[in-house]
Amino acid sequence: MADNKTERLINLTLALLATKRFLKKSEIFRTVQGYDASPESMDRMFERDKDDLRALGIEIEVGDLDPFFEDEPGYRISRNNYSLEIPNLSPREVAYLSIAANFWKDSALTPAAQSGIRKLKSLGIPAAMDLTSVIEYRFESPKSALLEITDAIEEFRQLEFEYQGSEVSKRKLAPYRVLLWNGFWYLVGLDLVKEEIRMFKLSRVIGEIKAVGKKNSFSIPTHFEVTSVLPTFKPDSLNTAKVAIRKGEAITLRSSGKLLSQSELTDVFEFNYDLAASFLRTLIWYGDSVEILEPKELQDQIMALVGG
Amino acid sequence: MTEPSITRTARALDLIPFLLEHQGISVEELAAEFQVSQIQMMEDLNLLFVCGLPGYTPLELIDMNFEDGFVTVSDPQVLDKPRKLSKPELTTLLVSLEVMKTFAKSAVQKEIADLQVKLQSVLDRKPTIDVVVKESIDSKLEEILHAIEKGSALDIHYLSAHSDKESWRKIIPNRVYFEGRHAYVESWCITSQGERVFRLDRILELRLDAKAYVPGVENPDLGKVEEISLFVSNAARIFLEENASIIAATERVSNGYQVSVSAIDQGWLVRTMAGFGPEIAVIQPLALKNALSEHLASIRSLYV
Repeated sequence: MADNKTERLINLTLALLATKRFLKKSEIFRTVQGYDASPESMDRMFERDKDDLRALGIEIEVGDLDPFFEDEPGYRISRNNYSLEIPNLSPREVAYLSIAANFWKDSALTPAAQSGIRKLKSLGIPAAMDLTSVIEYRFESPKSALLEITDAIEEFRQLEFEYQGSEVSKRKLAPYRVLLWNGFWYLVGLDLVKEEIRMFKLSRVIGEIKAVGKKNSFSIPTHFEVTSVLPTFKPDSLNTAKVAIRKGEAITLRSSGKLLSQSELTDVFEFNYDLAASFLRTLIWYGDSVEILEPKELQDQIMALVGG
Repeated sequence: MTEPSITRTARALDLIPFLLEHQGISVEELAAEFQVSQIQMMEDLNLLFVCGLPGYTPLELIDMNFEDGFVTVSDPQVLDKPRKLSKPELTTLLVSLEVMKTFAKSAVQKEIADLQVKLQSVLDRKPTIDVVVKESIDSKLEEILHAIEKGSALDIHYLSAHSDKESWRKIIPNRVYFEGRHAYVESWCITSQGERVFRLDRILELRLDAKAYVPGVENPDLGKVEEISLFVSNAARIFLEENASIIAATERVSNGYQVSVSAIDQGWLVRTMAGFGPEIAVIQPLALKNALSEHLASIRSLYV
């Protein structure tokens, strides 16, 4: 079956692209193929068609035909606005973009990456063939919510979502950045209830992330750096532990500590750590090759974990 | 046909500029490139064939030929340039470039940064995504990538992930991948005559071996794979998130998850689970359960 609607949308796009002056609606109805119905239904058709093209990101300019005779507006699509122009794109850059577009296998971003790279391939710049990637990225696939979030950040719109923390709660925040940190996706922003900058793991968001309220409803501090909100080792709140390590064992652990003393069977190291839970997980990994000497609280915590 | 007409319109508008740069492409390849069936692609081409500019005489129609199964466009009318990138397309490419830049060598990082600026300025987008990683390309990784390109073997001083023992091994690296917070090197291990994966931060030292080796084939007889089933409490959820690649199935139970784990090194698994104490328990097999108890008991014995 012929797809009349698609055919009409294509013909309308072509006609509006080809014209230099604005085309009146009556001219469009008379000359563009596909508009043959009663005047009222043609009007409705045309309104819907304009909305459809705009939804595709095609900008339709509206202009007055003649400043002296304001009868009806005219329409056209500017070639500059319609087409993709990236000056001086090199074959190497096209190759980088192709590699980049193939990152997200089977993720919500795949269709957009694929259609984007097709357009770039249509620019007529050959991709450099010597650039192939032997590196693979097996990160958590970003959800399609990523696109909504980046839109909200650009438009300064607030976001609302349900979040699985220690319990499920509703969150409202002014989004600042999306962050891929150690293989996981996070949303960083100002929590409007708690009034502080927080980060949220996207995989722990339940259901949809919704943009709410008006555009430009907040501003992002000019010198905001995402690294400033990452959990880091704060020198003043650092915890210290003394750990004995058997000779020749726990080699990787040794490199993150400071050697204090050596004896016949063990070496004693000092470690700085931030979170006891993750430090203990590291120590337990090495089994009985490592023994906590100080502090007592950390010994108690390890005993609680290993069932003492 | 249930495809929305705007999806089809978008594809049709993108087809012509693509064809201008890929004249003579087969319908089969074209359908694969646009990820539609060949039947759908033929319908799209037949539709475009009757579209054109007002007047709609042969002079004003899009002129193309695809009768022999190969497509050429001789008059695209006004569709000679690709449409500009949509917001999702641009965002996706910028995210990907950001990830790629983070893991690239410094010379490449500069090139990618310039490309990002170019895309952002032309298309008026601001950066909204950051990538922060623990392991980025260091000199070891650069040597490994070099060995992969040349197909050379490496001698590596490796710290085993399951026994805390060091050894020298001879490997032929195939590929590097990043997962979670680490980088891994997929290799053919000449020493153990099998495919092995090595974690980059556990390679203590490496040397290039200039001799040529031929990678063997992995012995298909992997032995019997035991089914591993664990209970992971809500408090230990980070175990699931950090080790997503070994989790075969997850089922929600009260206070946590029942998890099937695909066959992996059990020594490593025991050490990793132990750190979560009572928050992770082995349901089966019994041998694994016992190994976990032993590991915990050995630590306990230090403090009593």
